[in-house]
Amino acid sequence: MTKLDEENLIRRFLLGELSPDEREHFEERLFADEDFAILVDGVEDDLIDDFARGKLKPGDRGRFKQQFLITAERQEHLKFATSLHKALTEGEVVDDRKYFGGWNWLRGRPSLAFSGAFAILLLVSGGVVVWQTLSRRNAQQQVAATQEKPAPTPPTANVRVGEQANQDQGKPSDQGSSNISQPPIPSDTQTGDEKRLLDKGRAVGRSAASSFAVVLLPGSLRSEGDFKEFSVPKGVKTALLKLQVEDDDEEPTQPATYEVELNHGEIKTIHQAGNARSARGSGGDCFVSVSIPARLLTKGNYQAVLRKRAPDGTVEGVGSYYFNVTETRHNKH
Amino acid sequence: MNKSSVLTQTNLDDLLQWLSTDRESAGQKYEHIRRTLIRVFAGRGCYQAAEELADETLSRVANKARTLAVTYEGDPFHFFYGVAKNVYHEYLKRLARESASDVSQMRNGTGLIVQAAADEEPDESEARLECLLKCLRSLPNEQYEIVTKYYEEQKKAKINNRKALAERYLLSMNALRIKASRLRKLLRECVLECMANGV
Repeated sequence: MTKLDEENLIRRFLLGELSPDEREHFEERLFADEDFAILVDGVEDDLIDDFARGKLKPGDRGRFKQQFLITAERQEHLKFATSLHKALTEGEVVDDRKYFGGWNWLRGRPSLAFSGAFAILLLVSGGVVVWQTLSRRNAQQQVAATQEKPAPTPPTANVRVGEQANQDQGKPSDQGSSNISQPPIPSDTQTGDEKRLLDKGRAVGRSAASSFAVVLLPGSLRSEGDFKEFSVPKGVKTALLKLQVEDDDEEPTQPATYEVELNHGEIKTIHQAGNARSARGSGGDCFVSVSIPARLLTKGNYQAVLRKRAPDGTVEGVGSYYFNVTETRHNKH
Repeated sequence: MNKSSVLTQTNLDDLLQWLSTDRESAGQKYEHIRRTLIRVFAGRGCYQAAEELADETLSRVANKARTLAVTYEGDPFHFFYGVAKNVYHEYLKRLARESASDVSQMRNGTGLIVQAAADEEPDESEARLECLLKCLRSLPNEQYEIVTKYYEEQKKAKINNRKALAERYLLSMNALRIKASRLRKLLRECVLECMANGV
């Protein structure tokens, strides 16, 4: 008997189509031969699958229902077969494993593999271009941040905007670019990084004017007379607040970080920055610098609260820095 | 039917001991025998009563298992088959004694069972599918491929698919069928467990 003949015989048995003699012989073999019983299991599974997929002939379908679906276990088998058929035909199973076994799957679909590879190449190229653009812009902003706009009122003891100091040192107030309208930061407040950026910024064009810097000293009283004043120039996107801090006598192996909270009148906190570090200017003073989107600095009084976080996590207040924005001429976003 | 032949724990233990000294092997043989008995009775037209008749057969053999273990020589399966034929003949006599309306009720009962199977709630069907996908994902790659490819196609494509699978994994067709059947059984159990625990 061929394999096909054997399978046909099994199907006939399962559908109740065997003669009494055929059936008795079959049953004896079922009991005695475990391998044969497993083969019957396999044909039974195929029969259930055919029923679940609607592939049985009408006559077989009726016999299947009558002969086969007579126990709860077999009904459970049918429900399982229905689910398996659904999973295989609706592509969920295949799609899911395609992700994990992607290589073998891709090998069989070269056109899709090529399209996918091309798409990845485009994405990577685009990403590189964007990164380069952002890096260049960031460098320009850093350079522009080293320059300061002169205050509309004579500088007070707590605000130094740098133009005077630079002029004293004989440096042109518009050094860096003819398009830069902001005077540079006083050289004695410039940190090493800022100097390098400033040098770099000399080669940069008009985008260097997109930020400005303000040096603030800690204030003692928050009375009206003590607010330091400046205006936000037109076209500027970033304000760099340089908060002067006391120099630490000892340099810890793990330097402290600083947290800045910027408060505006009744609205309270409008900006927060953490993980800032102090840097020493060329004049020897230490500053903590924080960049603020210029659009946040609308007209009014501000308080920058500086806190120091030690390496062990303890936080202590350092000081408050008060200033007043008298006029904003930046573009609204 | 002899209703007094209830399968007690003692009798069951005796029966398992007779089938095999290894408890696990004995359990597997017991399950195989029970399923075969159900197949036999269903194949002889005892639709609704197939399970009941199978259990009756097992109980009768279990009652004698302690004696059989000492006196019987030969394949236990033959003994089960002999008892099953007796149970079947007694069932036919019972049917003949009862009225035709009772017989047709039994036959109609089969239809009700089928209807209940067809009317699975959509929620249950979805839960089952979700469990099946979860169980499939838990399979190692080789087993996953066997299950999905073995049952994927229809007719000629199915045969070709299975041949290719057998070649790929260096299995005979029979061995592949056995493997697929066992994996399917594992998946069924996994799904039932998943549904019992809630998806």
